[in-house]
Amino acid sequence: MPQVVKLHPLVVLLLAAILPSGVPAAEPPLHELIDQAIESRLTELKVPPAEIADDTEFLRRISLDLTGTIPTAAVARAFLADSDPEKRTKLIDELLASDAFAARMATVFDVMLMERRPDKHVTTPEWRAWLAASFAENKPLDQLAAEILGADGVDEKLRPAAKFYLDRDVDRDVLVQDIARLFLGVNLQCAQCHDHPDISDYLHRHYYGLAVFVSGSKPFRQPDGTTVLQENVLREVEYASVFEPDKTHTTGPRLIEALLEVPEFEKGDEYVETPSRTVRAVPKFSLRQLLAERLPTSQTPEFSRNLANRLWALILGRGLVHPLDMHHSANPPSHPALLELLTSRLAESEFDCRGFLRELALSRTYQRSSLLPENAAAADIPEDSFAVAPLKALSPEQLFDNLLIATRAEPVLLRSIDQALAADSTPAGDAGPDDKPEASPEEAAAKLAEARQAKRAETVAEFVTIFGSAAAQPEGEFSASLPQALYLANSEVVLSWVAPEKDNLTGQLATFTEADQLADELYLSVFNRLPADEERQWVAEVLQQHRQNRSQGVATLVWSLIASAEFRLNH
Amino acid sequence: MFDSACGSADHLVSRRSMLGNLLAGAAGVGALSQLIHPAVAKQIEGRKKQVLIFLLNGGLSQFESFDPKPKTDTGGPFRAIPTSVPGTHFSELMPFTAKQAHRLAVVRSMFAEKVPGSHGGAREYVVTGRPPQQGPYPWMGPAFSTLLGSNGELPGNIHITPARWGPRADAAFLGPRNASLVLSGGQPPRNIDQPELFNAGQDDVRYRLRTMADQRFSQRRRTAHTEAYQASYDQASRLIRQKSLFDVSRESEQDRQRYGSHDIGRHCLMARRLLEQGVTCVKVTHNNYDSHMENFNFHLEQLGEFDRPFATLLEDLDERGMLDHTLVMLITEFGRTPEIQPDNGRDHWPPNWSVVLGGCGVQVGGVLGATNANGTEIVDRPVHVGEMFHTYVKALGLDPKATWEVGGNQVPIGAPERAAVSELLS
Repeated sequence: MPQVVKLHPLVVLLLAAILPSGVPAAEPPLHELIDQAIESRLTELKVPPAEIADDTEFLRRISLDLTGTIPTAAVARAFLADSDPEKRTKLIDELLASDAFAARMATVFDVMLMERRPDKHVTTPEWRAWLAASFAENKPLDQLAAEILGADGVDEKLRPAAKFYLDRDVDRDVLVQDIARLFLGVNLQCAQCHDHPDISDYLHRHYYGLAVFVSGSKPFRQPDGTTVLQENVLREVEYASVFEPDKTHTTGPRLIEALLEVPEFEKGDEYVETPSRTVRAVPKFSLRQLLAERLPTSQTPEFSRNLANRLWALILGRGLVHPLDMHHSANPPSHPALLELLTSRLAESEFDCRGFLRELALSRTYQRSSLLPENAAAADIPEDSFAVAPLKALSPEQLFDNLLIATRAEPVLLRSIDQALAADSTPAGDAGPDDKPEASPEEAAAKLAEARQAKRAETVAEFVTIFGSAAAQPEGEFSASLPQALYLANSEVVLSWVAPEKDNLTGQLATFTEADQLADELYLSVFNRLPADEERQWVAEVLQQHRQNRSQGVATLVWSLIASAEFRLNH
Repeated sequence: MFDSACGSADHLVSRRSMLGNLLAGAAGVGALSQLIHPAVAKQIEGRKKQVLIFLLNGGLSQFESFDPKPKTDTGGPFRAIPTSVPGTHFSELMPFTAKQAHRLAVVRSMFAEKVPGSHGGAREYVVTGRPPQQGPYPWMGPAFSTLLGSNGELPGNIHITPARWGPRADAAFLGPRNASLVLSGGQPPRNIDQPELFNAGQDDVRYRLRTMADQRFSQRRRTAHTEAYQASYDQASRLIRQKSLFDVSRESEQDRQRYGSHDIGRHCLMARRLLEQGVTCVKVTHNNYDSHMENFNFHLEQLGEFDRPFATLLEDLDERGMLDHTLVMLITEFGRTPEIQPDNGRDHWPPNWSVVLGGCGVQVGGVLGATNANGTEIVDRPVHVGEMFHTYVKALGLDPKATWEVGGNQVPIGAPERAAVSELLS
């Protein structure tokens, strides 16, 4: 057995030995328990773990995972030069406290919960702003879930939370399946029409038990044109298997097996006000509120387990239960005790998202390299052993942001946005005399910022179309396609960022006279690391070849790096 | 030989020498052609099956096409004409297709239940064989081309659309890699032109540098992602050099006249060109069948364009011996109402409509199913859209009861409660 494996239990022992004596032995921090669980399983499997990632690998990965973006060359240089032994912990805390973390989590939870459905009643910017504010204040995740599941869209402050229901048109079957998958980690799609044919845990009654909560809910159009939710009173629903269509069953509201009580009101006394075409149906007892109160709690084990597993997968690249919506007895977790531990710790911490992610990020398991151990074959290292860091695809948003950061093309993008805006607006002379009052400078500036944001969003949307998953699909595994390659290779957008400009990376590098310095800056900017000797040689040779047109040579180098797997993947 | 998928130490030398080559300016097309990835070069065993899908978008009227009801209260103004199959009549709006009836099976009893009111939802039902509420599932193009595999040199699945249609994420859980490559308005794919920035030989240099960076990165790493990534660039650089594949003007003048100079004519000729070159699955969409008003004029105009190139393509495929292994289908999202609406319109009608199919061993020259005298309901052999999906898969020699492997999850290819229509298969 390789030596590294033997070393780790020893490290754990050493850590235990240096604990201050006299202090009652406290429960070790979660990240140590994670490593114990993962490493003891590695020993059982006789799988050697990868080495701990070096600073460059760690810096790039943690920045991408917690803030969505790569560090700039300057940040990378500073981190590599920092000799503080605690610098990784400090960086993790710094990133978790940043605005970029809240924005990153807003994007992650938007894509997870809405799966790139088209906007209908609540816009994505409003919804993401609400999510970002929630993560900025580290709102407990059970509260976040309760606000989403209880939203009716009426309360102005919580209106964005109603996106989950409203932008699914409050369609019962879509909601049942998505609540089951996203909040409980069970895929009940096949249980809509019958007990699941292959998965004995997924039953027809689970589907309809969840359906009871949302069957009465419908969209309601208010006089001002906005759509909110209303709810008709019901207590149970009927269903029949497609294989036995004549045999009907009924169920009350169920969270998987747990059947919940519903108080009964006198006929005619069920509503706050008698509903009509103009009066929104609001029951005295709301099943949707019952769902919001009862589902996102530690009393629903599926909820905490699903959340712990999804946060783990966000950071470690795959779930302990995988696929994420396939929690059932025939698909057990790779590390059952660990998932149980994570689940209970998350619940005990009152669903503290930041604290939980911090522990994951502090673990050796997370901080391992994506390089396989020396002399080990990939096939001998199961992905669910977590022995080696995974290769994760950048999301479309990450790819867009990181291309801009790496190529330093923000000013180029801004110029093209302004050009497009100028082309869109009618020339001033054509408008003729108009009696509209002049906008104040502040108003004009706000309007311009908004218009720029909208144009920018168009390009991001293009990235999502080309690099993202289909609407209403979970963000899938990395999948490289022909249109993606053509877009990175030849699109006007990407090439305008790579083409030499005085203020972008290509233009700036072209002014470097020393090939070695140029290589350093290039690799630090795009890969956040220094080049290897072989790579320095490539740079020198390409520059030599392009003596007559240095800018083109640099553009060739920049493109070859941004189009490479090392850039496209979070490793 | 330079193997782009392999990151082993043996190839370090090759990489070094390749860099030498490219910097000496010797990187010709011949050298690049060695970049074919072993994974995409795999050949499909046995007889290669192909698929040709026509989607008449908006909802083709069964009355004005394959289930005419002349001289009834619902039949409208057009006559029925005899076809090449004795006893079978089509609408007079399809004279050329009528002469191809012996190459087609007609199903007059298509239906779906609980169809969403939207075109998008109904279309999804037809092209996935499942209620869209349960979806999303992969559409036929991505599903069939993924199952059949592609001819390594070419994209497996091409969708020729009317102008201004962008790519759709139609592969669902099969991922972007298997989504249709869109020829919007019959034009070549987007971003296929070599950019000015990397003109004259620079394109080769940058692709090679990119490959070398990937090879370096792949050493001692899991290679599934990097191989897929490399393959996408290999395919891109090949396609850039094969732009002529999408150039219909290279077809003979005579053919271009036979197919017609309108969009759908050019698109059908493009479909033939692509199938002949070996593209696994080609889909052609023709728009404007949603005739809530002026149904008769609309169909006169749309079928007036569509009928001839469709018939010509069927005939050409048969003449070339391609119909033996090419499944052809003409589908639409639903039928149109028997009752003629004010303004001579017909509205959406999912209770019954018609499709035709042929090739690939389908039992042609007959009619399956029937509607009553004025077409208001099915009276014989109703065929659910889910059954048709099974039928198409089975006609391609594949098992519709088999499952997709989606991240460890088994998903049935066809809806599990349905089965293929045996009457349509030989």
